[in-house]
Amino acid sequence: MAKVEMLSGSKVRIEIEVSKEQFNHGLDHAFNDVKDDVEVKGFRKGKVTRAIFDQHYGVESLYEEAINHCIQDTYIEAVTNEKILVVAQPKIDLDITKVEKGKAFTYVALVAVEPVVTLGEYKGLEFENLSDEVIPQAVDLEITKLLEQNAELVLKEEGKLENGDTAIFDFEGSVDGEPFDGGKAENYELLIGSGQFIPGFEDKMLGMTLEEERDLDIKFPEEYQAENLKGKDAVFKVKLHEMKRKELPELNDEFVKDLEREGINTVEELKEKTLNTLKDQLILKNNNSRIDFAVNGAVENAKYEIAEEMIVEEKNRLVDNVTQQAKQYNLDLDTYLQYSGISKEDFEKNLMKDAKKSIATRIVVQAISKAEKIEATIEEKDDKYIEIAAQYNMDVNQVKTSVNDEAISQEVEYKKTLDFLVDNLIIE
Amino acid sequence: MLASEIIKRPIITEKTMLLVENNNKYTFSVDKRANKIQIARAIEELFKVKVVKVNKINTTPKLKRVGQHTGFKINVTKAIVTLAEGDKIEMFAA
Repeated sequence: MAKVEMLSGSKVRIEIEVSKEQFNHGLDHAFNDVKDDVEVKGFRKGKVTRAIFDQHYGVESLYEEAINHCIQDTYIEAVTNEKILVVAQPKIDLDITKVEKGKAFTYVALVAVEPVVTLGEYKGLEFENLSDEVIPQAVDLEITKLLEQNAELVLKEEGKLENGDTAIFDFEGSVDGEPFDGGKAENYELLIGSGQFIPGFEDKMLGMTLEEERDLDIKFPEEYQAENLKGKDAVFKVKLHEMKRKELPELNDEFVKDLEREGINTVEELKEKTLNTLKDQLILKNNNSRIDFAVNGAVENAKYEIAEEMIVEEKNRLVDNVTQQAKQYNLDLDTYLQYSGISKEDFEKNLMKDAKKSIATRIVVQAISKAEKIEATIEEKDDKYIEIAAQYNMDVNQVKTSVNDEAISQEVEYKKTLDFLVDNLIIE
Repeated sequence: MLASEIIKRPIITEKTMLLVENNNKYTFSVDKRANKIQIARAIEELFKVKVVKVNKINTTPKLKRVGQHTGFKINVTKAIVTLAEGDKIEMFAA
């Protein structure tokens, strides 16, 4: 027996009555659960009869277990009977003092349900025309990057230290004549201009010659991680041992061959290959931004109300994901967040936002696919199965048995709807 | 003897509960001086039931030793009372 009442904010109030018989059944169930652990004098463990148990411990001790059991049964029955799409754990409201053996009782469950979406405009949204052409400079840039990655450090025998050189030197720092922790090193290797050291240090080393010694007067910045050094004037004694210059390799067929990439032997081929990769990347990026735009537009124009519980549930799922990720680095969540430099509150807030967005996207896209009657055909599903099989290196039939068919059709439908949305964009 | 002097307490264990369930027999600890007729009357008076048969058992007391002194546990006399069909005793809560 259940009375259903729709509330605002995608919530439903269900009033459910638990009958006398159901409650008695619950009590029996609860007794069976505790039976094996009950000890009464004159009885072996687990052999106590129900009547003796009630005499010794009181039937009230079974109530909690019994009520839980009853609620689980009746709640699920009510939800399936009334066809309510529940998306989060229900909030159960029950006055426990009114529960009595041999009597029926009622309780109220507040549940978040799948939101109803009122679709707005989603066809014919206007979007700028993105060019799929790669500009020629991009190729050059990419190749310069490649050259720099393969640059060699060449020892500089004479001359002065310049920006971009790598210096190998000893240093010893002191504040007011006193050396401090971590202020000393020998044969330290530093790329000048990389900004690894405190500001000013690298600049003041410029122009040094081999084996030159120099005293650098440097003021520690106010925002420094060591408390005792903040804003202090320090003197660093520096002795330069070696200088190394970066030498870019020449771009010729030989260099290309040394890269040992398959099928690429000449500079021309390298350029062509780079162009193609860049083009693929660009096309993918443009496609994604079209999908993003289309979906975001549809979501923005649609009307829906998502219950807080549903968002929280989704957020918890996301948190679990991150925790799993952290586990791969052998960290717990808190330390992981510390390393990434995000405070716990910000992290939660961000995830809440993400959760809300992902739910909104999902429900809106689903609503559109329903409105447009987009359905996955058997062939499309088969294609998907083959794709998954290839991904995990499994047999297709094996995949079919282990993956839920419903999930596959949902995924295919989702993708088809996205394509549909993009096709219906008006490109200016 | 008074009925309440004859019947001391019910004996409730797994075994006696089985007797209640299967044979309508109730087990009590009784005064060892009472005979079967007295026990039957006492039960009838106390629980307002009809007694069909009484079996009386004198248990052998267990030997107990406390240091160098030896003694015995209390000698319990049990009476297994068969009731008429349909009668029952609430105390056993079967």
